[in-house]
Amino acid sequence: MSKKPFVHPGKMIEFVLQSLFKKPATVNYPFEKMKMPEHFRGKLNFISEKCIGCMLCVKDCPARAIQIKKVGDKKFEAEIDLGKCVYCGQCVDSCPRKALEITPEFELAQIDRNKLKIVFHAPESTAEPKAQ
Amino acid sequence: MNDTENIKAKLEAKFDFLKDAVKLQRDRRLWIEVPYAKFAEVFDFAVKQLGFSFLCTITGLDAGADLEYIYHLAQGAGQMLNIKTKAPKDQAIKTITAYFPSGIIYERELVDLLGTKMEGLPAGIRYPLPDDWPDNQYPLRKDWNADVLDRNVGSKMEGENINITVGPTHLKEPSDFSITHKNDVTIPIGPQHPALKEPESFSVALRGEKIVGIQLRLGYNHRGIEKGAEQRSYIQDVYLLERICGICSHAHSTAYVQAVEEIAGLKVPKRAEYIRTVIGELERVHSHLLWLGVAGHEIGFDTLLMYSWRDRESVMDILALITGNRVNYGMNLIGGVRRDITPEEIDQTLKVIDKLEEQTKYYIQLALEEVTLIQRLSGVGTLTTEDVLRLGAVGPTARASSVPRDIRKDDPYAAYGEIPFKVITDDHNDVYGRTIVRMGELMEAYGMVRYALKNLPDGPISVRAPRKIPAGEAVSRYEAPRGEDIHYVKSNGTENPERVKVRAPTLANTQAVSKMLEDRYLADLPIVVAAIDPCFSCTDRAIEIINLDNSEEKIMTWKNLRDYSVDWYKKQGVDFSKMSSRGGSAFGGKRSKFG
Repeated sequence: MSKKPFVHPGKMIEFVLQSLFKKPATVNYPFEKMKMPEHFRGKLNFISEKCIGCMLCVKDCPARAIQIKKVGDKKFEAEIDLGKCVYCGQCVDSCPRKALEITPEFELAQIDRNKLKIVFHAPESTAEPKAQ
Repeated sequence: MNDTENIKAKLEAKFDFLKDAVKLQRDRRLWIEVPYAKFAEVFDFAVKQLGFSFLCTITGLDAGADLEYIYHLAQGAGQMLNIKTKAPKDQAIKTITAYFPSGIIYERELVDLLGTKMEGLPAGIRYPLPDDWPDNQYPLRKDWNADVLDRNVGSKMEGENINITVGPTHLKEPSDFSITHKNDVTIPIGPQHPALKEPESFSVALRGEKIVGIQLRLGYNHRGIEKGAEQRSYIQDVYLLERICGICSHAHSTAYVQAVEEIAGLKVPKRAEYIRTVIGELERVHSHLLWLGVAGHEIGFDTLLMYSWRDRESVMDILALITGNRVNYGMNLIGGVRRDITPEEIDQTLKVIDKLEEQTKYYIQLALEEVTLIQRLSGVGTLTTEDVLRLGAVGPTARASSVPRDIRKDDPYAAYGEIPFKVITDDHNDVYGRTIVRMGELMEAYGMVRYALKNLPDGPISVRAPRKIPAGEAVSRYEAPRGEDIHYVKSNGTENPERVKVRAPTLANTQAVSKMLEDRYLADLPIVVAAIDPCFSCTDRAIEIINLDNSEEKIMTWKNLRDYSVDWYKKQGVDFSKMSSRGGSAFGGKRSKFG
């Protein structure tokens, strides 16, 4: 190889000086938190009032992470296993009544595996009249 | 008459039984079905007379009493001939490795997953199942299910009728592994090794510093995704297949949805095709920048790693902005895309692309002028044009050896037929050439993203797809950052696919790695392996100990290894033998021993 040597000695100094005065690229987590992008797919939220129990979300979930149980007349509760969930958001797309929504919440780590299963109960006030 | 019709005419003229039996699915896609007795003749004709010089992959299907095989052959100009044949389950079929040495890995896959009896298959290491996999268990057969697996003890199965022959004997002998000299040393690199980013295992035979033989063991990342895909619906499979790989997730999901759309006859809106292209090219940018960093790291040029990974972050941010997440974008849907691109996102993307282009120009200048970089990479991992054609390498690995193999040009999908770009090739044939090709592709990708975003058509982003896909089959080819990615999908009219077959680019390139390392020094191994940008996650357990004194081979199973470690610790004065291998309280009641 008879190429002449790469002569840009100033290039790196430029970067070094720039970086000296730049604010750090990292965020001081957990005291500061990054803003998640608009479409970010985090923890799921279930709105029981809107659910009609069509089970499309259960059917389309690639990770089989959702269970919908009928707890009363037109009352449904959902159990979502965040340990299984792959955060693809297909259930939200499949839901015809927008009973499922994505939240930007991402701090979902647990030491106990069972705590990853979250149950969204049907609201108490509307469930009571049925019991009477 | 175009090329495809020409080939059809030639086939029909040559073979009487193929008269009106050649199925022209669409331009560049031909299907023929031949009885096994005639297969060798037709295959020979296709390869030698019709110029089908590249074996994409072999798909195996369980068709009741028979096993069905589909040989996907391709020509330089994107023509694809799919030869189907059938043979009873207990009948042996002949290997095609005489035509395509690269076919060996696809045939081993058939042997392991479908239980094909392959006549003439050379001895060697199995792929992709573990060495302690029980005999006569073939996961891709329709009557097999995973219940025989005991998940708590790795891959090992327990039961009365299950025998385990450690290492399938018919594949055991390492015949092409030439240890002839008494001073030769074999060293294992992997499954876990600092130079490797993912588990794969190389047994490297060394004479001094020179590599005299190399054996590759793949399959450590085999997760049974193809079997999983058969048990899920088409919608679920989009997300399952997307998770084959974190770097080229869009490549896999696009390849899959394209195949399903072809079967269902869906016309994807133009805007959706453009958005798929944009995400695909942004993915290529982030993959190539990642590669540049890894390559820099492997040759001790960590400054390059810092620079290129810093730049890669900006592409990742753009991808997160458009799709929501940094990896596994979840952008595809059967019939289109799930999210639109807003004008603000377009502005942001264009800004980042301008900045990255500036940086990439600097890296290109660096690659062309920096003496240490040129000297470290030149002549390393040489792969000649003939070897590329013979071993079936794909992607930048092939293009760096003057083979202009690029699916985006050969068989345009999405919006690639409308976007101007050049196929970058190089004649260096080595790691240096692969670096130049990837840098050139970065520049092309910027141009394509810019063009696509400026000419983004208006209109809907998806069409409604039925849940039940009509019976049919299709092959989809996609140029992933690492090379050609192939998905074959067969539907049977229900909500679940009958068969999904994936051939990731790395599997095609692994054949070339052994060739590249022949007669090279051990110190070149990390960079040569890194130069194909391997992704073993896409491509797919056992430790093999070769005792050189008497060439006795011993494979240690999970249990052997555990016993060995318990013994070893006993000698050091620590008794682990009462410890449960299934977790639980490992140190319960025994703490005093350590205190």
